[in-house]
Amino acid sequence: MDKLEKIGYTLLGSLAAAYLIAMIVGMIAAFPYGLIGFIALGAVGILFIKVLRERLASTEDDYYAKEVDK
Amino acid sequence: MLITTQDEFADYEIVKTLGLVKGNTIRARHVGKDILASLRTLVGGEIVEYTKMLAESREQSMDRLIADAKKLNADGVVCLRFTTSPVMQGAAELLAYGTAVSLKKK
Repeated sequence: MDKLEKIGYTLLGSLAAAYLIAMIVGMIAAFPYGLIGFIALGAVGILFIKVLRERLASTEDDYYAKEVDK
Repeated sequence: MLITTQDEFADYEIVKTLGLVKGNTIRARHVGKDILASLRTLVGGEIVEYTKMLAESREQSMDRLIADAKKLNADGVVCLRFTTSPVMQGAAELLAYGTAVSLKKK
């Protein structure tokens, strides 16, 4: 991963985090109706953490990602 | 494990056909690489992110096919073929299949 890629991903990641925080603040402000979106976001967040943990723990995926070139 | 796309090996004789063996996988790149790939369509040229993804898929499918053949105590696999099908945007299944055989040197 080169320098430009890292900068691009960092910016996109920061933007995504800012957007997420803004969504959560909006949902809290819209209480009690905001609870619906809040619960949906929480559920998606939990599933995302699950897949992220599985990917980080997968040595098989690491092997193919590192060893196989084009 | 000897593997060929032909019906037979030049130096070996097939003494027993053990059956169909297969290996498949469905892989995707992460969202950052998908964005890079989309941007490459604006400038043209090789989409290296997806080239690598399919190369990884081919290797993993082959490894699983070989593991399937080893379960049958095969010496080789003939008539190897690859096939692919799209599953969702940015993800494709790659299936490797062939016929596992027992061999004897000619």
